[in-house]
Amino acid sequence: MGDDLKFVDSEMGGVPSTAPSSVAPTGRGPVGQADMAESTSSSMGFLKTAKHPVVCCFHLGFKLAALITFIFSGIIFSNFIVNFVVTTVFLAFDFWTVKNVTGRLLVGMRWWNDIKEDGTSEWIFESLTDERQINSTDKNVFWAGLWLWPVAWVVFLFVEIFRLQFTYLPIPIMGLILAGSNTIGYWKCSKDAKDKVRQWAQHNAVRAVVGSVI
Amino acid sequence: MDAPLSSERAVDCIGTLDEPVVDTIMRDLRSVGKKLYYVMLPRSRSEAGAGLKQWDLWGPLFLCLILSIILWANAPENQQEVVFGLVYVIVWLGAVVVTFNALLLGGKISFFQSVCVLGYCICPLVLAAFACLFLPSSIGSIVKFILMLIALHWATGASVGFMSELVAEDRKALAVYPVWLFYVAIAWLILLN
Repeated sequence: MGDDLKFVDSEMGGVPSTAPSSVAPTGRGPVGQADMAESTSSSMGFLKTAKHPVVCCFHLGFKLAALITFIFSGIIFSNFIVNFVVTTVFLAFDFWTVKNVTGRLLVGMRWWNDIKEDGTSEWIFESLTDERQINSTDKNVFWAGLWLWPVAWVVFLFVEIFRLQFTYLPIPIMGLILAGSNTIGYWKCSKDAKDKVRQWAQHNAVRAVVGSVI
Repeated sequence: MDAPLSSERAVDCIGTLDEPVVDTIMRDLRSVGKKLYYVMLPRSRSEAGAGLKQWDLWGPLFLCLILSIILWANAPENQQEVVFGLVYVIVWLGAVVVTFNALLLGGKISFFQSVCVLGYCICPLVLAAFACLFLPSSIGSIVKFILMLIALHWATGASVGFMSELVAEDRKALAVYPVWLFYVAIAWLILLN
């Protein structure tokens, strides 16, 4: 198919790459405090520690809406078609929101498919190099939602198969495909971020060694 | 400080990391609208769907849902669920199967681009189905049949061009036949109701 993978750097706010080594100790302070606040407060307080509480709500909101319309389909809407359409629409909205909005706002990552002039396509995975800007509540909410979502749809898929409800089968299948794509996309972005951190650390370690020798 | 990037398009996308959400929504909506409009133009036939290269699957999803709803509205009570599910599955599975067929014939295409083109080209059929909803039954099946033929011709225009461009000369018919079959199946489903 000619699809290539490409990992891309992005630095926010023009922070030079050598700066983090000197600023890191103070940078750890606010993040540590956020962790403590998170463990000792109620769910509303939990959201208050997030840098983007509204975005967190949306990240989980569409998922909750899709789950409710799917699980309680017989009770909320008596019509099968309305259930199906509403659930599919929520699933689609959730996919789009996570891919285009919550990813870049909560954890500073993004992935997409780029079509070049000659027609070949390339998958691009992007992440922030400056990890300190990411709030830990945001990060936890994001990754929890991201990983649990496809698991939920696998469960629903098997439930529908065992119940022999084949008219409802397209929904878990679609849910799994959409959830799985986002999970794989962002996992690839995060792998890229960890690789970059390791490379930067190695690069700086080498420079330090060379600098001390010369 | 600029990030070290090679392609110009990636630089454009870095700029969108901070854009307001409304911008993102409008950008995607406009892209879908542009593609729908493009599919309806005669230009898409001659260009073999070149305007659909920047693929997205939102158009096919909503066209599929709209078609399923239109056919469900016309279906008799006891068959409604089946009709809806059937149309939905046929559109998606059909697009995937036709794409795999082209890929297996050695076509050099992106899977998603192909599904995108096939999905968007359903638009004329959906419009015809919608028009058929309002035709009184006295005018009857002849008019519906003619409408569907026109829509079928329209739909196969861009998609057939797109498919045949991507495979080798001697295999063109093998790649194009399933595309044609796919749209005939959908047109037939619409006519049945």
